[in-house]
Amino acid sequence: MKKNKPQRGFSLIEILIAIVIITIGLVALSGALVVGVTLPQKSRQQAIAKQIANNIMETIIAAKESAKTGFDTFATFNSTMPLVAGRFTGGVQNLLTPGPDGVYGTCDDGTTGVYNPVCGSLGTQLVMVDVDPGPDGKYQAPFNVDNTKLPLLNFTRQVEITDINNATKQIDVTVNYPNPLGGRDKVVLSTQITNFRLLSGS
Amino acid sequence: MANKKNFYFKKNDSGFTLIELLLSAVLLLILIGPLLAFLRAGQINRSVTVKTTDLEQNARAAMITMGRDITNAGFNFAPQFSLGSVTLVNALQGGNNILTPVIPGNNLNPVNTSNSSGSVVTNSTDQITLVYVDQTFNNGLPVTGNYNLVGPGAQFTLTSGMLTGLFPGDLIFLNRGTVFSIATVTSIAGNVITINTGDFSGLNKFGAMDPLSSLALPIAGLPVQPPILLYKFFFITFFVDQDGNLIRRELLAPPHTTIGGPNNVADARTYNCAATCYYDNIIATGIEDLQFTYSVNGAQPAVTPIDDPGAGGAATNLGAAPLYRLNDIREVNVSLKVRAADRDTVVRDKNSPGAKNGYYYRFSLDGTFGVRNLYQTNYVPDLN
Repeated sequence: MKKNKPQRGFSLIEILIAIVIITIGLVALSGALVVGVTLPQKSRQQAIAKQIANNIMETIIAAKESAKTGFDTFATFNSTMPLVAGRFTGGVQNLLTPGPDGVYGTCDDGTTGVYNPVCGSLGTQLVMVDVDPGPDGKYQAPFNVDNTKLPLLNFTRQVEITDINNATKQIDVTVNYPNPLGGRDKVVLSTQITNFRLLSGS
Repeated sequence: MANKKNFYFKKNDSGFTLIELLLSAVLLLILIGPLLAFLRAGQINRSVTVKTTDLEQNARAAMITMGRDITNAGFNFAPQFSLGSVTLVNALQGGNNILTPVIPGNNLNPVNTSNSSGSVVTNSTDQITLVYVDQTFNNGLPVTGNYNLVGPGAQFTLTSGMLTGLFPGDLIFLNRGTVFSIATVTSIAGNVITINTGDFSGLNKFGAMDPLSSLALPIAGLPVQPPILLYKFFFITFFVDQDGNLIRRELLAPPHTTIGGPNNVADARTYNCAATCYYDNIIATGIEDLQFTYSVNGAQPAVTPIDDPGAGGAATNLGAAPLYRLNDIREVNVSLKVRAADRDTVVRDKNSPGAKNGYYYRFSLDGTFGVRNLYQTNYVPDLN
């Protein structure tokens, strides 16, 4: 008759050691969990950045379509060359409000007041996103004082306009935003505009 | 070694005691418990992302839809129609027949939403009506004809072009010389369009001062009267109903199948012809607020034009100086506030006492669109 093996279990100490080892392993795995946690946060930031980039591009195209400023103004402003009528600042700027002209990326961004065709200096007003209408549930003035607003503090935008030829310009909009995982990411939109318009009636 | 046995390392056949088992289970929980917080955070974030992404995409889709119609507004009006004429704007203020590519409505429509404590709040939302020539009718070009009768029952007899695609109830634009009018087709027989009172939209008016009457009057000093041009056009309104649905309403003719024929074959689309005939398309839901502001010619700051058609399209507000005309509108700025359709019960907003059953996601979206209302560029602020 075969002899039974001794029926020894683990000792308590062995179990405890095993638990600690398992825990160490799980803690190591939690790094992956952190990524899973922050990825949605990143996509949220990315969604805001995309909307902003779209909005920037829309204002530029709308300004061209409506011809409220001349085609020549779709160029980078150059203070040393007064003959250059461009209104766009170029370069990386904070995400400022479009200013009185309603166009992002121009030299009156971040300012308030009356439209001035002559370029001054940039203001400081950042784009704010309405997060919540506040306790009154109303967004618009005069009920907007209690709105929860999220200023896009660490976002930047860059609007670059390059001439392709006399009638065509390339527009590149870049919105740069902080990645919760560290570092920064960007959304880039590009398009071209031409000076084609239907003639005005007379 | 064998003599150094102690309690914990003794080798015998006994298993754990119940106490030992419980103790180890408790230790396991204490050590692993904090890790569950990561799972919870992941669950919350996933829930947030799913809901907000949906919200944002719906809002963006609605914005694109509005933007396309806004961009089309006024299309093909230029250069044929002098829509910038003061006469037309005055006609608006008098509540007569007028047509501008963009017809704002300021805070016309209440929408019921809720505040953070869950109480119902009513917000006033804007609406916008956009008008553009129907490119599917005669390639967007006018047909020409003569105006045969004066007064109700006036007849337009075609002299050039084809009426294919024009139906009773369709909105048309008539122009001769400096006289412009919109009208509704009452009936079509052969090459003759009859325009009579009692149309579904109440546009056909034949008062002494109404443009429909003026169209029939000969233009002084001309030996041969010019023909009347006729366009068919689209009339599209965006507004929010009280349940927060953003609606694109297209004003349409009553159901029809053939020119002048009986309306005995149902159109695939569903019309509502109780008062006026229209086709509604819900393009977004959960709208908390919709506001339009307008940029007028000359790169002026955003304004709300004061020629504000209220009931029946009549101006309700002559406003204060400067008097921005509807025809001066060059850009439309849209501000859309949307809210998720239902509360997110995974995330609870502790700061909102009434929202203990979950959290509503909100999203704010702005857009700017140019209008193809290119007729007038000689913008002059009216300082009256």
